[in-house]
Amino acid sequence: MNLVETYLKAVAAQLPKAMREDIVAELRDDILGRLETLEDRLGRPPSDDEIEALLREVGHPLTVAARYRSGPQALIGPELYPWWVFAVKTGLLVMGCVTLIGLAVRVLTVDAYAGQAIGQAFASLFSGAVTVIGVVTLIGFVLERQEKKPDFIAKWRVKDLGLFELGGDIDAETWAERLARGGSAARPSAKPGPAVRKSAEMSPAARAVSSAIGWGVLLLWWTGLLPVASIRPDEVAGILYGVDYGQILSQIVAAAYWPVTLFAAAKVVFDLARAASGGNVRLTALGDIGFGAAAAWGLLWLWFWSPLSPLIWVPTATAFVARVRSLFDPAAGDGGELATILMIIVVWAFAAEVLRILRALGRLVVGR
Amino acid sequence: MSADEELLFESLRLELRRGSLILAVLASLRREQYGYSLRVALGEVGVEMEESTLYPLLRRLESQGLLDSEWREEERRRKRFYRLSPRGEAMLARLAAEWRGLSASLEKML
Repeated sequence: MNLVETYLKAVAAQLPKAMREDIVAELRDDILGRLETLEDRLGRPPSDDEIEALLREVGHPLTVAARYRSGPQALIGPELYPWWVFAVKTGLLVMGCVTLIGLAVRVLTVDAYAGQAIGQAFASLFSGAVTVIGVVTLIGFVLERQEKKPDFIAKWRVKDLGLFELGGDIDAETWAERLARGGSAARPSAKPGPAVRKSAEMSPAARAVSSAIGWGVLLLWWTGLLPVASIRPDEVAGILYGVDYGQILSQIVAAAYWPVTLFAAAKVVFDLARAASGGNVRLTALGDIGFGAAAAWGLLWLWFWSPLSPLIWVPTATAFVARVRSLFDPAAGDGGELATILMIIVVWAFAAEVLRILRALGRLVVGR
Repeated sequence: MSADEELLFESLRLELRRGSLILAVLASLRREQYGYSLRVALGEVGVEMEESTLYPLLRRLESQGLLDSEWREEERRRKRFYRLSPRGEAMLARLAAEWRGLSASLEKML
């Protein structure tokens, strides 16, 4: 009998206090009933081994007690599981890209030995992966235990499904096939017609959410709260043809830390507001103008006043063209290529921001 | 291969039977029973259920108002007796009709 009581105590320990006594009494009666039947069949009292075998048949105390618990029996249930898989896949993909870019920057700027950089990238990839999976699981665990599942699970829209093509190709089979074909574009290139493309565009609200997530990740990385990439912006050091880009970069980061932090935080808040308003066109346009102006100002600062300015500033359009042309001149290998490329990027980005502001002004007026 | 086949059959069979368990329990409890006697009675007609499935199920059905229960002493032991409540009877009638309909249409397909 001691075996049975030991077993029942183990079950009782897993049960809520309020129902413990009741359940254990019923279970005890059942087990004793089974033992009596066994005794009748054997014609003698069952041995300890036989009793233990019978208890094993009843089930492990953890399993038996779990069946009585109300609420979900799974960490993440079957309804939520595909979402969990998607989130983990996407998270790992983004993290992998960030780490790879970080690795490339470190190797190219000769801030660390390639071997060391690769080793650190792998280490951060691993810890980052564990963090991503852990955070996604935690969110899934909480969602699983909500009375009502979030709207995005039930009230999805076909418009937003483009988001889910992301990571859709990331499975072993596709990659194996791709490798077998020699890494060439194995994507079946059935170009969607204009009508299809239009309907496949994300709805404004979904775009706002994607944008908020993107800026959120950037913000976390910039402020060092996201330990995904082993590089911090100011840690990228590198001296190229006598110019210490690492020092310039760290000066820029020091000067721009708070403006960029504020910009990213404001962008996240704005995107979320935009999503909540269902992607209001005029609100979006106003935001685009504001953020475009801020970004344009930042680029102007880079151009005229930042520590980078002496390297990229050119007084006239003619000088600009001349510098671009020298980029393609094999004789002029003076090491100024990086500066020239940066110059082009800054000008290009400035033009893009101005264009964005103009288009937003148009939408603000037309309201569409 | 044949062992795999057996395993597959067993899991599909369990899945197939799972839905009918509630019906079997409700139907057996037209007559008052306690847990163990209910399990034995179900086993005799070929519906075998583990304790860890049956007891939580009984509790759930009771909390849904389909069963009534009371503790009584019998054969020198306290036992919890279950019986179909009026609400349970109505529910059983509806579920039985559903079962017969499903069974009839499946029979035609098979």
